[in-house]
Amino acid sequence: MPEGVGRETLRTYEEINAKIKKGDAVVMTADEFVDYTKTNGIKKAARDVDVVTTGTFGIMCSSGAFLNFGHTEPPIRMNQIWLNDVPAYGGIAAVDTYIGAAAMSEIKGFDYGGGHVIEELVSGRDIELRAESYGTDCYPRKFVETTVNINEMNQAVLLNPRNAYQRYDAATNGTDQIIYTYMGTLLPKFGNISYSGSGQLSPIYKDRGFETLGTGTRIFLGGGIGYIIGEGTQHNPQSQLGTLMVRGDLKQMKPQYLRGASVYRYGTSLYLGLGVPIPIINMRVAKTASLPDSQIFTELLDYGAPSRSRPVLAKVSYAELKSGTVRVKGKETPSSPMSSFKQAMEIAETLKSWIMKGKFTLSKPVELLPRKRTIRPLEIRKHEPKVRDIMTAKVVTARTTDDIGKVSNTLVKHSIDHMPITDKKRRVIGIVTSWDITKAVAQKKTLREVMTRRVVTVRQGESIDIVARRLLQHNISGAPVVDENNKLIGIVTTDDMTKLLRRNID
Amino acid sequence: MRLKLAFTPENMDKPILSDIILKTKVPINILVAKIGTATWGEIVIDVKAEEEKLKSVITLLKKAHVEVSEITHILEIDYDKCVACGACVAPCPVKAIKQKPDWTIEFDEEKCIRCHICVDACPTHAIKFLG
Repeated sequence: MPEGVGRETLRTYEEINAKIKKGDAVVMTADEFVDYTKTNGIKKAARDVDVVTTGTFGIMCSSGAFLNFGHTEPPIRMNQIWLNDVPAYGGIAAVDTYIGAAAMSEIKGFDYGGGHVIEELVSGRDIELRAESYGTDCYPRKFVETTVNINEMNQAVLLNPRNAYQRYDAATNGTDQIIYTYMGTLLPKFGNISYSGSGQLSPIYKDRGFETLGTGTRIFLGGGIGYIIGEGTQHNPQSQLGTLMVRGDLKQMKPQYLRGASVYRYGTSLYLGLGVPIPIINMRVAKTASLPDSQIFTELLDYGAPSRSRPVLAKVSYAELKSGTVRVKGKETPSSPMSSFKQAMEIAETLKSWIMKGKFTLSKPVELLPRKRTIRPLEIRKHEPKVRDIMTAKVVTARTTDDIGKVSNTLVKHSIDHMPITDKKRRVIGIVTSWDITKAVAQKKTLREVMTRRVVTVRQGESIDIVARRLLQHNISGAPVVDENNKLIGIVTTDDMTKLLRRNID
Repeated sequence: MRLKLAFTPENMDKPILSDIILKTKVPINILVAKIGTATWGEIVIDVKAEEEKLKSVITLLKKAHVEVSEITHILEIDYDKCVACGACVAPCPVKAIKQKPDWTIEFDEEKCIRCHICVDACPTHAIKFLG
């Protein structure tokens, strides 16, 4: 850890705030500060500029709001709650709830969710409230159906466990089918790239040493004033994946900075605008605040892999991503953001104008955010059947040169439907089914002509339900099991899965 | 020019487009083809030809009792809903959607093939197809 983290060697918070109150503070957006440093050098930039403002406007699923409705007559202890048919949390008595951005309407599903409820609340629209209870001596009422409005609520507080990811993985899709992810629509065969995060405007990247960000940092949140209340969940500063937990009064916020989102075939969420002021308290902070897009990197991952550790295809800078095309596997691939740079720039500008007008002063955090964290995955301890548990290890195979008659005899003899075609080193180069062989016999074709060359394969450590999903996706009834060198080690079919199900039922 | 062609059960079984292509030698690009349970059919074509040739294509279509209407306006972006993110941009397979230097969204009618990928990709439901 560098010595004196958070030391105010260039200027103190008090000095900055005194200048803000006099209207003398020099404030720049992060975009402006990057350019200013390029022209004038980091020393002059650090000396001249007091505060750098940042901004981001993206889909932040881990968001939601605490609401307090006030008591009915007679009172109710709400334990099942819906807002515009979106279920809200009923585990906090009695008329408190938490509406999560990712909760989906029981009627409209993917098209409307908690994020939309929050947007409508902030817009001042009436929201349908429905709540149920079992009734107690102190809370006799069992049912409520009415409308609520943010202006009539006691509290409406946005409280988000994980916001403002420092950077986010860029996504592409190496499979041969279009996929719909939380990173948006991904065309097959690396057809496009989707990315998120605001690069050189990113709040956390501009203080990547965590010297000014901490509990108590006053920020721009949804068009109002909010605070960082601690590290966000999954905060992973060592990998430049820091996050923030934030809180703000929903009643002060503006709908243009809180927008409901529906991500096709993924779910609902919330677009949120967030901006953090970075006081230039020392040279290290000045240096990180001056980082340009070309020096801020993220990883391009293949979201076609249904795994938490997706293959990393390349390290890419935000400058490359923002240019609109990135070279992937030797091909120029179009890239576009999921988060809005237009809104991010507007947020940095708005925060700058608030500070310049003396409407917003800086707060010194009472505790800085942690600079180190271990991120753990969730291990599944309950036994989950894997491919290796049901696969057939002794596989009957064929070579491309084999005679069709011989192959059809082998299929009949072993009463099997699938036969992988391998090369000399037992690597899978094709597959035929009994149907292919029937066709070959009928049309007098060779094995080479009827075999499928693009073989869908599985690994022995994969879960059965993931494999079942893949077979269904490709509309096939079996797949060879291969090792990392594509060498055949088994075969798994829908018959094997049916047997497993039977076994479980028996 | 983009044309929307409506077919009826009376003319659905005839190779009308092929006949016209062979007769006029005008290259016709089929952008969308839909068939609704044997009661109607709809094809959207793009005809890149001079005035005269285009006229003859339309005349032949009408002669075959195909209802022809020109498509001038395909898609509408509701800029009140649009947050200028870009979720619709790179997924567009024909690059008909671009972001201007200020990141606002721009749509090129000429290039659009009506695949609807952008409609689904938009997180704020800001894109609508007309007709």
